[in-house]
Amino acid sequence: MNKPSERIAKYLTRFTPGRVLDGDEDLFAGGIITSLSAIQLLAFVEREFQLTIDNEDLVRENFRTIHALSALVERKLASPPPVDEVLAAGTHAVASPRAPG
Amino acid sequence: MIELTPEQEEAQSRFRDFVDREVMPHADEYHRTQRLPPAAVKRLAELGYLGLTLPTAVGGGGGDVLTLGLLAEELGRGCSSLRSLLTVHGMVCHTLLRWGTSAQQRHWLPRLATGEVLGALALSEPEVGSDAKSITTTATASADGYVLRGTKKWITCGQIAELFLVFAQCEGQPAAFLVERQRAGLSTEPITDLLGVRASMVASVQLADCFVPKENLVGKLGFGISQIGATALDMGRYTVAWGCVGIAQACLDACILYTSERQQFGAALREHQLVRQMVTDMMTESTAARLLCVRAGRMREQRDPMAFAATAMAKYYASRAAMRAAGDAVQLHGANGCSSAHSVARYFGDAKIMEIIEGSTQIQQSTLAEYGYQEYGLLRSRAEQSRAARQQEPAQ
Repeated sequence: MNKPSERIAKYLTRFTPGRVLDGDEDLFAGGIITSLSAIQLLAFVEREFQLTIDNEDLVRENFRTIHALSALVERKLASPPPVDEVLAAGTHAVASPRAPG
Repeated sequence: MIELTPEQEEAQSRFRDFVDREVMPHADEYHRTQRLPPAAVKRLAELGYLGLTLPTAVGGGGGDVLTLGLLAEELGRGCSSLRSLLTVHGMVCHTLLRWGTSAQQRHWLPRLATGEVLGALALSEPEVGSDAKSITTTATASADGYVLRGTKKWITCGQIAELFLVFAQCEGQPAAFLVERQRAGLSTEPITDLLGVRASMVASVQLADCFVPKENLVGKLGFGISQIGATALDMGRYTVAWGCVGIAQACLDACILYTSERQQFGAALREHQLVRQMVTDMMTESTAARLLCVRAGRMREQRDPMAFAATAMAKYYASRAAMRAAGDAVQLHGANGCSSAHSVARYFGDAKIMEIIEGSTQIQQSTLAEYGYQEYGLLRSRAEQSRAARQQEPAQ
């Protein structure tokens, strides 16, 4: 259970009880990705794979299937974004702060 | 009651002292005059409260999520209008931090962190509230930017904000734009005589052929509501929820004082059982609301996928708890509670607003259950396992 596609598929079963999703199944057409589940899925991917989904990644095609999302994850893991000087101190200061002190 | 680090305890103590000394003495006047004096806003900025959780690299405090909640509770205890400023400014800051371009972040975050620029969220319209996807404000693409047309209403701090995060439909796709106050075509008009948060400088915002350069687009076309708006509202719910805990606490504090000193039927009000019942409910519900807020804060720190749901739940419960507490507080104060001589009348109006903004009680009631139903698959498989285990047991 190490491949991103398997981890994503396992997570998505919460939205499709009793049914294992095919990697190429259209998540939008199937109603699996809704406004609520999209936010959860994005948060899941960021935490599970320790990465940040950027503006540039916000393309419908990246989220259309498990395979497409998995490919996005693998691309991002293979080439981490350059460290931004301005925000190096904590892009996630709000979402994921360091411990106080 | 809640486990805090020494730094968080120290911060909480500072916030409490600031509110007791500098906010509580003036909050009723803010309410009466329907304005936040510039000096009050400046003081929040000086103390670093407007950029509390922004990265230190942009001049923010680098603070954590729970500390932000503690600040929102204390401000909410003192003055919901001031807490509203923290909320809408924070929504713009957080959304830019999350989805802004590098250029937008570099330009705006240092100014927002220091309070040099105040931010406000411009989503609601005269005919559009909960159904955000139906906004009618339009953005028409031009050669080098967008032209915005429409009217936004009920914009908290719309009278004083210099930077608006405006939501509009661009060729049928929801989108978000940064619009500076000085842009030609943008004008604001104060909205007064509201039931609550009367000093929160609410305004309507007119966008009459208001041009913004393409660099002012936040996020991508099509994701304006589902991601950009959702990020902002989620952040807003978090500090509103904590602010509601503050309202409930203020009600409780006022009632403890009043019912200990007010005499009726030859005894202090606190000696009457029905009075005690109200105080007990206020204590219990404000405590429960606070714990839900702490839970939401911890889940946000951990980037838990269910943090969004936990935040909505905290806002749902805390706003209703604040409303019940404020209703009972007015009741316990009797005629005094209906007058401007006691702050509980202000709390009552403020609490009702909390049940409406950032996702009304009814919206939360209809959406939160969805998260519960996401457990259906897991629950069904556990039930099947139990059934199988029972069938394998030898007959007795």
